Amino acid sequence: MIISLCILTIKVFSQNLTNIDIVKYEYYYNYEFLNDSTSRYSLKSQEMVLQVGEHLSKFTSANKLFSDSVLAIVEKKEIGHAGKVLEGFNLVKGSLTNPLCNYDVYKNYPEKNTLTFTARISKNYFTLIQKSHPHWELDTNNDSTILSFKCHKATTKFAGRSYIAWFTTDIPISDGPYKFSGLPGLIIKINDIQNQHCFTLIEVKKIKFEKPIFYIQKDYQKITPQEYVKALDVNSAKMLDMLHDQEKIKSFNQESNIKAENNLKSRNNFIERY
Amino acid sequence: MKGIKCKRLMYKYILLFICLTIAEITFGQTTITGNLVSSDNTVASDLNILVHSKKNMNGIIAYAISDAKGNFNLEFTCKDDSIAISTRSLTHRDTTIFVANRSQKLKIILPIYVREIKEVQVNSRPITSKKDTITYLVSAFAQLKDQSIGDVIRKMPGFDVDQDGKISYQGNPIQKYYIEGMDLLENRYTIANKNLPHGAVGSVEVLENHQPIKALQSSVFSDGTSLNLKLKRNIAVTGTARTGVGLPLLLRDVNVTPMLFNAKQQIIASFQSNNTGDDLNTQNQPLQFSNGVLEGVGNLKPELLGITTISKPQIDPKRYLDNNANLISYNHLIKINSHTELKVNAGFYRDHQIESGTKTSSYYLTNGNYTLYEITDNHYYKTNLSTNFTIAQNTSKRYLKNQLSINRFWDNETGVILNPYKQEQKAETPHTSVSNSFDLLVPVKKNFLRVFSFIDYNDSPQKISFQPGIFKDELNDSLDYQKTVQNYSLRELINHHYLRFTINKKPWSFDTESGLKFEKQEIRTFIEAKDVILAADSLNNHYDWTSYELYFSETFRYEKNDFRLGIESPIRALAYQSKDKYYNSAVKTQRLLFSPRFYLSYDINGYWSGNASIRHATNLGDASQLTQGYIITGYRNMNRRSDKLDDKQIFAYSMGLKYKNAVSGFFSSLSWIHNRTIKSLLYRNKLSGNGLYYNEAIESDNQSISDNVTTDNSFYISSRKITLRLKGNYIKSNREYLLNDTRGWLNNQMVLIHPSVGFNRWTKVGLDYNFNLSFIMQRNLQANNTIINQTHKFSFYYYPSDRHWLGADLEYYQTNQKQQSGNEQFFANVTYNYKPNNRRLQYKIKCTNLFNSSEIVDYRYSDIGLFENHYRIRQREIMFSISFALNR
Repeated sequence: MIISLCILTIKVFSQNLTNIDIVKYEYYYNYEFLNDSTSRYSLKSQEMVLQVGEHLSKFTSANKLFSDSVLAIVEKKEIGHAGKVLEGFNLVKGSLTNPLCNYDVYKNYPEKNTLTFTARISKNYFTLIQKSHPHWELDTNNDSTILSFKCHKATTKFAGRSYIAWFTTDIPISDGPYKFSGLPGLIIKINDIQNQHCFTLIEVKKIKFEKPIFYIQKDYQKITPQEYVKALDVNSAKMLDMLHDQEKIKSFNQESNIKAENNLKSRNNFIERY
Repeated sequence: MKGIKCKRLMYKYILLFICLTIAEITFGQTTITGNLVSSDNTVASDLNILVHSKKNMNGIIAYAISDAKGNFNLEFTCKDDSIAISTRSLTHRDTTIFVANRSQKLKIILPIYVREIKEVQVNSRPITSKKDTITYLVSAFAQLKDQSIGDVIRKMPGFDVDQDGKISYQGNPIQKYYIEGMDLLENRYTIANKNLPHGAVGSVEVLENHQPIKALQSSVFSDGTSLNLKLKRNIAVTGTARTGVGLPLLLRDVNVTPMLFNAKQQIIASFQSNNTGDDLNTQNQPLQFSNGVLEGVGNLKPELLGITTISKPQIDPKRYLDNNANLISYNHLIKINSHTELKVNAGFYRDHQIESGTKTSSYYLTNGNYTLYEITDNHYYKTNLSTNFTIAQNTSKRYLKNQLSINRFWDNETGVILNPYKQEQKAETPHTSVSNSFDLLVPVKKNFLRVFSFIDYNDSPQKISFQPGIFKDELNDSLDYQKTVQNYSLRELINHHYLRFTINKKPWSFDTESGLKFEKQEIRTFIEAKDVILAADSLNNHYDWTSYELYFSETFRYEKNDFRLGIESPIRALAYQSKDKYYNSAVKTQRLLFSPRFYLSYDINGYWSGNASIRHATNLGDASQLTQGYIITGYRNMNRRSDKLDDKQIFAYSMGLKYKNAVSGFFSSLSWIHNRTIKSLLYRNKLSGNGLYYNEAIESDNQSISDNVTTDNSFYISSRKITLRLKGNYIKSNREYLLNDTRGWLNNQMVLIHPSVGFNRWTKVGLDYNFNLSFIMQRNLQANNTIINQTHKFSFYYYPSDRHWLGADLEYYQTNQKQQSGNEQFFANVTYNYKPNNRRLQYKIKCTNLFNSSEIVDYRYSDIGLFENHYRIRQREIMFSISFALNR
């Protein structure tokens, strides 16, 4: 709680949103992943959303999307910082984003066939721009029906894992969850072969009003994907140190201390690994 | 020479052929490059280009995505002579061309076409449970034909919605109906349940063991179940707008019900008007509470007098209700700040209902039966205005609720009976009620103090007139005369105040409640014959009643883990007196009563739970039972009571067992209730040979005993989308009665079996079947009757696409009474619904009662006779209606 409140406090300062496109459709995915690669019982799930506009798309956590938009509204109101934090917190409490999916992926942004990944770890903001999609192998012998869509199978290797994807030509957009795209149709389901990370489409929603796709402007530090994974690990270690250093966080009692420690230790299984 | 040249050429060709073949086999790769152009010459970028084998058009051999200039490049290997190339996009029409399987350059021109992607939503698990909350996903149970959320709730396993709109969950009525956690409608929730489109609702949450008072939530348990509707994201404005006209001429059905829901306020407004048999009073009248449980639609108003009615048949009221109803309702909840809400609920209802039919009554006389045949034509003119103003605070720090209710009825009834003489009746039954209830609960350290105060004022000056005059022997010296008027007026003031202190010592909690009830009533009745008030004491009542009740009640509750126990032990001191103008025997009594109740419930595991209760109560009757002078209650009935109140000793036992498994979708409940009542007064019914009957109370202890076993089982097989349901009910009751000075026992037994199945597996077809069987057996000194009713209902819905649907509802009804031959009736409704691409509008044509049946037969009995009713039903009708979705 305290940590998330701190995070919020930081976030409330200088949110700067740029309107980069208009949402045509929103595709909701259920993202199930093992928080801890060593434990089958660490399965977490988070609702993610892919906003597809005219020229580009944004993939993020549904909670993050919500809290970003709330904070944008709160920001506009002329109230003191304390008030902002409190009001913002009241609105977004209960909808916190798991740190392993606290990022935004913009595809075809800033230009075609590239993707921009932005994320925040602790007080630092990171960004990276990379080639937009991995190389896919079609498996012509397999098809399936998922969510009433006829799906075709394709496989790829990406960032240390092998994936099986099911895409449909019924939704003829070359997009998908996370950094995955480049197939001749939307990815309905994708999972790695060890089944530690799995995205499944749960809802298709047409947006009938003018809803902008926001790009969050920050003082970003440019890194590589490998460096980002390392930064996540470093941050976990740093938080552990903080926990061990009792003087810094006094209000933790013994029990929640142990809980928090376990929590941090088990949070080791980011989707990318190198 | 020429031959050699020829041969060389041939070799050359063979060589070329071989080379080509080798190329095909070894390098069999085809490279197709191309360019996509829109029909308006603009670049077609970001299109998907797929290569298929002609043998398997569904498979994909290769694909490409056109670049910013519309160029693409396909490289693939395929043995076929020719291949299919198709393009897919949201911007251009899907196009497939067949080309030879060789490397080539293509230019494809594509027409522009904007494609819509259909909205979908997955519901992997239709029912989920988490602690005390069970969530039902609406989309898993909704069919295209369903309109309101009520249509869908009805189909969810575990739920039951009755004709009045009362919702029960696992056999018990729900205590609260929340929309997004707010209690806008309280016990008038039918208006939302019938008009809120199910498309606006994401899920229905069942909150078990729900304590509605937030301050008590962590300390005082509740065994009530509440329901909460979770709206879909972004739903703010929704509702129904429908207008319809039909044949026979001037049939109308108008319903405009806009709704607004947001964090600050909720509004449901409604204007409805129809003469198609849709009873609007169910949306106007609050569902009544008694003993803390919701009961069916009750009239808030006492029916002191009324014209002779025909009992309603046991089929869907829409088949017989001949109405002309209008309803305006406005419900508004405003959150002033985070903990205070203001609420206005107002409704105006006006209706003209007609009932007509014939009634054959066989009354049991000492020597044989007396049979009477009546043709009845009744008109009811109902007008009601009801308003409620509420201020409420419900936080963990305080609970405060003050509600002011004002209710006014202007009701008239007229009836004509031919038996074969014409008898006219006219009743005026107005009623005014003003009440205020105040409820405050504040925590005092870990304990709670509650102050409750309720004041209710009622005035009902009612009268009924009969033309020609009746009871001429008694009222007019056996001479025929013009007109008889019975007047009955009741004025009362009711007060109830209590102070309750709850001590909370987990796992125990103790309530100490002391309260005062104070009642004052004025009852006046008199009879006019030939416009003259008859002076005889035996035809008049004029008395004032005052009663005080002081009570002290101690309640113990124990709650640990899954075990709950409660003991209530109220001690009541009653004092009442009645001053009668005509009878000197002034009634004056003081009584001390003890009415204990004990109950326990146990959650055996996550699936099974059981409960039991024992209750003993002594109830004294109310002031209206002291009418010692005769009152005419019908053109053939006259009643009088005694100066004694009907003392009732009640012993009640109940046991219940419930099973719920949200994962498998199996819900089951079984309950048994045993009731024994000892009453101090017995009503002597006396029938005279001419069909007149008198009812008098005499002092004599008498008993009634009843047993009621109910079971409700529903099973939702989510993989097959089948809902199976079996409801059963067995009631046995025995009571003493007195008819024509013969005392005897009246035994009734009733068995109801109600299985149903709903099949929703196929996207194009929906099937429902349900069957109702009831056996009713009555045994008394005079007769031995058995009535068997059965109803089969089958509905078939065909959905060829999202835009059309066609439905047929078939109903077969049969009733049998021992001596009579079977009476049967077959009904059919046919519906066609069309929803054009503009998803906001919907057109519907519906034909009801296709075979134009005209009446329905219904048998009834009571302790004085057996009745056969022929009730007129609505003729064949064709309705055309347009509805407009108010969803944003």
